[in-house]
Amino acid sequence: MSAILLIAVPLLAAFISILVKKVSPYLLLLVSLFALVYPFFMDMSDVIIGGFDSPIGINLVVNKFALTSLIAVNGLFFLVVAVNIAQYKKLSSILLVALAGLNGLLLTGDLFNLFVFIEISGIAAYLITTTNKKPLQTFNYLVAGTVGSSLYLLGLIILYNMSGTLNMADMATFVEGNGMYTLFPFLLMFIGLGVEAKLLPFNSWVKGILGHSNNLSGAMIASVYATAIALVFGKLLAGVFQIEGTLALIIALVLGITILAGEAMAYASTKAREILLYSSIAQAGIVILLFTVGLGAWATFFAIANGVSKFILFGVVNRLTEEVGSDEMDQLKGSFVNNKLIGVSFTVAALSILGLPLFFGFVVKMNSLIGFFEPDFVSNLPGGNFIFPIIILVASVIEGVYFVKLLTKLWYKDSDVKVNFTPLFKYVVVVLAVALIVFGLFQGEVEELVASLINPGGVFIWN
Amino acid sequence: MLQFAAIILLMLGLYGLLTQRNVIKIIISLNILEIGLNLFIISVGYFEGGLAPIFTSETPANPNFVDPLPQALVLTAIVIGVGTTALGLALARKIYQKYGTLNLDEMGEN
Amino acid sequence: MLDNIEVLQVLEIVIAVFMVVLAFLAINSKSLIKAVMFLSALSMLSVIGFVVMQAPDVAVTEAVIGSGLVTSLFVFTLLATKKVGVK
Repeated sequence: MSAILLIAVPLLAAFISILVKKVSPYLLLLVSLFALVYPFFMDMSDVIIGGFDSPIGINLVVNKFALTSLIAVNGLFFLVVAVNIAQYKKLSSILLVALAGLNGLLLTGDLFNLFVFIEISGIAAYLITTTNKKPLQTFNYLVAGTVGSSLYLLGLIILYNMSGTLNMADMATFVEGNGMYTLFPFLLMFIGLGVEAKLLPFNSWVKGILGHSNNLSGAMIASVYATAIALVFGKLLAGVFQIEGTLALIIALVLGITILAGEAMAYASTKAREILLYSSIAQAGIVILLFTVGLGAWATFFAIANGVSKFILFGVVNRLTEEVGSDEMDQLKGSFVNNKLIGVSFTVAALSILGLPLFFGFVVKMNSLIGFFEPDFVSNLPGGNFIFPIIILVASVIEGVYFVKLLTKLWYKDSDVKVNFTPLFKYVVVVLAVALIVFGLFQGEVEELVASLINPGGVFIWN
Repeated sequence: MLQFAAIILLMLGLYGLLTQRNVIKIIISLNILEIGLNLFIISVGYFEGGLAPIFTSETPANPNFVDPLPQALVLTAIVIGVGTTALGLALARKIYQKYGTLNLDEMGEN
Repeated sequence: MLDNIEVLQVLEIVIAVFMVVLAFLAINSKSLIKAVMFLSALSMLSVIGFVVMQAPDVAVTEAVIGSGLVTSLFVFTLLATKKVGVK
């Protein structure tokens, strides 16, 4: 059983779904279910494409990291699709292409191949966001995304000129020996991926897209895509570029500012969707910061926990906005009084992001913070052992303030807001909320799972 | 020489993206950026006196080929670039339908 | 052989200068249709650039797709938005 099927089957299905429009939604559901189940049966081995061995040919890397991220991303993708497909049948082919692109991003072991998959999933993302009916905002996203991936390609080609390889594992050994010379191309690639990952100077598109998102695009971009891009970033930061010294400090500072600015903007805004989108900028910053300082295993689970929570939050808020017609917090006042089940799930997701005990988010956040103070944790940042835990803690406090504000508004008594949720959506949201609690309660098991990601050498990607 | 031109084209593309306020002009700037990038990638694999990496009956025994890998990359990049351009133009049409103008400054919202 | 390389070098310089000028014109021209034409010419020159740099397959692709298809897409879009020749 080869990992290539995860990319080939969705692409094939995308072509078929154009020919037979009627069955395309079912095909999409079937294929995304397949993509969710298939990683459980995959062997852990590199897959060579085209008959050339790995430094020369393209290879797909299947390891624990890839499997974990595949299961998480495909699971979220399946749920988003299952909940929303009835409303957006026309997008079936595009969603299939998106699935192929996302799986490729997580699997590929070749830097140029990564660029191709960034573009495939990116074009699918632009098309998904056209359902917002805001062409100008989608256009801004397209321009930002295209410039970003062009910069990524520029950095990549400079690296290729220096090292003569495009393979990630090969590149890692080259970068190890020539850290100094790879600074500039690395920065170009960092900016390129930073556009997609919503990092601070490059995220002007986020407000236009997520601020006007609908049921499908909100959950898709904020949950599925955000998780996938964060994990890809992690793959590069932890597996290819070992950054240290001044560069690491600069990047970590950019990330720190991203986190604090995101939280501050979320605190300042009064619209429910804006609060969530700025919060997700901050979360992306935290995940990539954890990858940068070398706490990769926990960062992986941070990204996954965040993706699950964001699915619930964006799903619920977009549904509310669709019914009420506005996402001002005052208009949504008391929406949960008539929908207790949804309200409780929403609260669980918000508190999990916040990092309160009992929830998945707490386990992840606490262990990441502990990771900073472990005796064998060697920070690659000068003085980084204290600054960054403090930034994350401050961010959590601001999160606490605005989430509590949001929750008290939404739970406000005496309201006439009546919103109907489909039973399927209710069911999915409740199951995810329960999952967040279960993972939070079985702390020991989660820690074992994470520990199994790290192999004795400390390098957790290329095992 | 073409390498420098490619870098200048890249810079001009970025300059256009930052200064132009017309949707079509922005897409044109994107295209210029992409052409510059493609030329740069090809120039990475090129050296003076190299042969085109194609085997024919007249190829000498020890051919001095230029690096074929960047050329393969550019083929992919060109096709992807056309995809994004076409999507951008489709969006430009939608924008025109919605706002009645292609100029970003003349639209009510941003 | 030496002559050949010298000719190529002169050609390279000419192409490089023209490309930069055309790119500048394409970005700064007032009329949209003229900008598209400048872009098309720039694309054509880059085709010669690819040939000079020994990449004939890329040159063919760029000539067909970059110069032909993209230009026609631009022109159709401009026709659809009725903006031909107008600022």
